[in-house]
Amino acid sequence: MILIEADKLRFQYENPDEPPKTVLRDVDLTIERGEFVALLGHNGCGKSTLAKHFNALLLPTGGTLLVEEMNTADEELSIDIRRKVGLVLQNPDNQLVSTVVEEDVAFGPENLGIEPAEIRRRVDDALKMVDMYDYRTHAPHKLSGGQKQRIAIAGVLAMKPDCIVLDEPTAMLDPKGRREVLETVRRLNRENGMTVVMITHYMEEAAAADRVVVMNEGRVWMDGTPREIFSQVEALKDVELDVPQPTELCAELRALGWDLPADVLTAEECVDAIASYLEDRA
Amino acid sequence: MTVLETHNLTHVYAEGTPFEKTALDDVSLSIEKGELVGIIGHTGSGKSTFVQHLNGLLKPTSGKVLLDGEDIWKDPKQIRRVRFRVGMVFQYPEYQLFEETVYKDIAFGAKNMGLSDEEVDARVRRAAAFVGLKNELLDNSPFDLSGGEKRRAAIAGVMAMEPEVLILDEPTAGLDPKGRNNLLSQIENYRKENGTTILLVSHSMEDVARLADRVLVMHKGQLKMLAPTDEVFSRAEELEEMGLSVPAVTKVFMGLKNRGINVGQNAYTVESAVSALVARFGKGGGADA
Repeated sequence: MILIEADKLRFQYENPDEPPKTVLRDVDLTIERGEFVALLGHNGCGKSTLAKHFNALLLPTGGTLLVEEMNTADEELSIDIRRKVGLVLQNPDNQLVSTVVEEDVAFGPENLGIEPAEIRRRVDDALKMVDMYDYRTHAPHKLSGGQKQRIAIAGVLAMKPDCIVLDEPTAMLDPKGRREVLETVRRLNRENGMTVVMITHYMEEAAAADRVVVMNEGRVWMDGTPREIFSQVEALKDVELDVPQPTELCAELRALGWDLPADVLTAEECVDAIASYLEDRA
Repeated sequence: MTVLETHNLTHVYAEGTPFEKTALDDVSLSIEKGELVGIIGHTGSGKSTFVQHLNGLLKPTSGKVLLDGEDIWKDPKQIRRVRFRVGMVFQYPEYQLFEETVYKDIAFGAKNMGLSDEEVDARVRRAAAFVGLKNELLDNSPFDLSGGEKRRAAIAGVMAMEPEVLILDEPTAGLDPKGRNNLLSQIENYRKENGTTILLVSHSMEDVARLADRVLVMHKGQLKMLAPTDEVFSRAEELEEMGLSVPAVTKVFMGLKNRGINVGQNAYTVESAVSALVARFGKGGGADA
């Protein structure tokens, strides 16, 4: 079932002093319910602009964007659309509003005018989903970056969205925080069926998704499974994007005549591939 | 030759209050002239507190910091001079731009050093070239630059002071792969041409693996390791216990060793992994080596 559908989506920033700047050029993209999509591309390629269209923070200047068949251009639907699609941003410190974790998570549902008993239930559920229930009475500013980001995710979950869009949620985190957030997002997708769109510059994170969409110069440039995308090492390197290190290692060895598969993603797969190649050769 | 030393460096925040916290615990080490040291440790490990002692932004609770063998706090009135010699680029330095033009922003630190206008001008242009900012951008407002350009302008401002030691706190955080690669090459070139000692604080093990001669590992305010890069990354289990990780190629090599495949040495960049494997097993095609 289709959750989000962009059809010939165009967007340009208008500035009275300058010529308009086109950021999105005829983007066609559909996101199915339950998918985990990683959105890749350089800064300025339009991926954050696209993400902001998913919950009607920006409106198309051409083409349409539908969320569950609701057109984002219809401003009367904005509130409904934002209940369906929640947004988590890069800097956790800019997203926390309260001095107590559970009050912070309650902020969204309170604004929706939900019954107090239901809010309590939603806040507890959301905190359990991100594994932060034990911290419900703590002060958010004293938590680690990864914990803060999980609180921000809980705040979105408490609105009961159908889809979460995360814009570089791990860019400011240390390796441990990054692992925590990625595991949380994966679990929400696998166990709770949450649709996830995650923008990232970390190729290992993109490799964990079901589908990778690469944007370049305002267009969808590649779209496929992580294996399909990352096996195109040369094409990605041409536009100066990275591939996961194990993929790159296998590609370089293949270029030297080693008979290895092109679609290796993880360190474990790389070990298997090299080990079985060397065995065959011996 | 040693350029920086710390002796039993200890820092306690909010001493004597219920919030007392020992952020640095008895750190003794020395940094050699011209080397590039990567500093890793998870958030709260004390690495930022540590580097802020090296140019006197923080004063030790006990212990000493020596620059060229001299205690930087010997004459507290002279601490400003230490800050000219040990330059610090903070995290997200683009938030600290404030001048009307990019040129003035880069010149700010060098000007404060009391250099002649010609000298300041030469340094601004050199620094801008190192970080790849084109001349025509220098007259623009820094606020019209892109995120990556702002970051580079801020770094150029510290480079223009031509410090003996340059400390960069997470210089690539939030950049895209292209911006990250460019900035790392620029840092490498700057070091090659100037012989500057560089301390690079980073969460990216790949960045550290690519640039560093030695790696310093902080954990809970203590110095856990300070050793050549390959040695540190060969201790993957210890690093993982501290919430850190090793580059993915290092994991591949560890996996091969566990399978009983003798890969000879360790690898921590894709380049070194390819050459190690080819050196050991030869190129593809037939059975050799």
